[in-house]
Amino acid sequence: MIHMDGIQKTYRVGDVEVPALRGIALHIKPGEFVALMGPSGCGKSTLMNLLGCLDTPSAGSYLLDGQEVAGLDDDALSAIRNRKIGFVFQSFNLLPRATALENVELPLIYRDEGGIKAKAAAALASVGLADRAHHKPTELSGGQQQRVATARALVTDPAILMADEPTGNLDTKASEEIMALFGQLHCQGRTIVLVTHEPDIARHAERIIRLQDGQVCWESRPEEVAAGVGAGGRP
Amino acid sequence: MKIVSTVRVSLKGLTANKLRTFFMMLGVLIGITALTVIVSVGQGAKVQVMQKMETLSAFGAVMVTPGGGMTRGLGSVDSVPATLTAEDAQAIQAEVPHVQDVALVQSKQGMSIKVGGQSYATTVWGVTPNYPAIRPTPVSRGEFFGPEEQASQARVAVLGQDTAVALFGETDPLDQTIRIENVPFRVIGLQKRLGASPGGGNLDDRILIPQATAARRLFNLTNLTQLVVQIDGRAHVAAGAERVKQLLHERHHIAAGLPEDFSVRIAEQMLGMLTASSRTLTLFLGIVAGLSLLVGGFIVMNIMLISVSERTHEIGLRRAVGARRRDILLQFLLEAGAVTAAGGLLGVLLGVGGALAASRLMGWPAAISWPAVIIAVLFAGVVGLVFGVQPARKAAALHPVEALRG
Repeated sequence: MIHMDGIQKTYRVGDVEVPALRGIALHIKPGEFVALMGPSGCGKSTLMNLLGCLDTPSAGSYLLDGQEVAGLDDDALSAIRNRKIGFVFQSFNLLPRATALENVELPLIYRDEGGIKAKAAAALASVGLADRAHHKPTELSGGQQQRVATARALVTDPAILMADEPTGNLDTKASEEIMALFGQLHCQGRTIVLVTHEPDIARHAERIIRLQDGQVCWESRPEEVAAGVGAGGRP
Repeated sequence: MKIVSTVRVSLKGLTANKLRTFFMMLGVLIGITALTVIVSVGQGAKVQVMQKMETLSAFGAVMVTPGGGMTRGLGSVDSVPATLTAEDAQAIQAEVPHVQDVALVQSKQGMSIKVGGQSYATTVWGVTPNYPAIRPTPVSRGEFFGPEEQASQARVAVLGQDTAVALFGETDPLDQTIRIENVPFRVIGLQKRLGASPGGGNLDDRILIPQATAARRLFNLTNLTQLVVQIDGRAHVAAGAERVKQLLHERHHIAAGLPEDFSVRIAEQMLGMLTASSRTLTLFLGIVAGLSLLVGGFIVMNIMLISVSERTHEIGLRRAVGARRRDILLQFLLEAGAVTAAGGLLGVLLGVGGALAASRLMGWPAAISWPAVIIAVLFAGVVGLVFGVQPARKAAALHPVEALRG
């Protein structure tokens, strides 16, 4: 599903080149549930942006679903984001004046397809919020808002679900709910990439990839994290 | 992305913050309202002048007045140069081609009128009986005097409506006797209302009497204040006026290069003068309204810029779920265009209402010009698109990652 090789990303701050990613090799199989971990500044957000086609790498190759996306222009990347990627953000990013249903419809209006309402309603039902379709985000709890956001990510039937700290703004109970939902989606065969810095959350994934200083420094099974192996970030 | 859904997204963006949308539209609304009122009233004034000219049947008439320069209105027989005579009229009738008829006018202002104990002052017009045929002077009651009264220097008078009311109030003036400068006259007719003359005088406050009576029995002067020459066919009017000029040059022995002691005007020229002055005013007001529209455009631009920076997050999200730069560009352009078009539409409604109210309450003429209305709305939309370009480009240029972070 995802094949990254020699991915580099360099930011220019004034006259200084700041490397954020220094040659990442990453392979994710269809249906895998992967967690990206690492301390802040390790480059996991940058990697997430590249994986989600929000940004382009400075060097390297990125095959997404068999298609090279490293050199694509803005319009093509927009189309790929629309077709193949579903985002879930830490701060939900729902449109405050739109209803839950309208929020879920959002990705579909950027396609030339009919049946928008029905698809959005189905996606909302799949996260268990069919009865909240006409509520505004402010009328929903944090956990419900994040489920609406998840429905919005799923409504396009994407190849990958990208979740960036999806539980960062949620309490423990709501976090567990969302992770249960992700587990359920994983069981249905979704490919999920989850960025988090909480080991408790990463535990839900099949595989954990730890980044440090812009490089993959360690990969493990979640049980090892739970056992405290490599807790310091080093193998 | 379909254009329909873009429109829907834009409208949603606008209804989200109604107060701001209203303020955004206010400048354009005021500009278009002002423009609509100005155009409507200007158009109405033009129509009114045209109608007036038609009722006066001044088309095809050439007016000759004594004295040089373009004096407006009718002079008084005792104050104008005594250069224009009945012989001039005969010569014109005889020598200028296509002349149908020539009417003589001798008018004198400030004549004292007495009825019983009532005293009044107005202008007395001595006119030849053919005058009503050239410049329609219909009577609502009674009759106009004819060649007989002219020949016999009869003391008969036709009153303007305002004069009749001033002298007689509710009483029927027909067959009553009035004294003009102590000479008794019998009222034989009442002139229909004509309103103001193109020169600005009140055509309803006057007394018409036979020209011969005026010259011999009242003024003791033979010089004229106006000759009205009816030319046969509008095509010959300009040439006719030129020929009248030449003829009077010869008759008055005016050497080449010296100023004339008469002036010749074509009725259409007076119409032209009137419409030109109202056009200048309309143009000036139009420029002011256009400037307010420009200010409205800048307001739209500023508020759209604020709106874009406030909605960075939304833009980032839309980009993340697949909106292309041009989708974002179109969304914000349409927002600006829709606001100003709506402002324009409202402005037109208010403007049309205002113009109609003005015409009803203040008696201003108003004519709604629908092509102008449609142009106004389209123009307002264009203002939005032009001033919306900069904010929309700013929104579209945002990098998705930056926008999501912002």
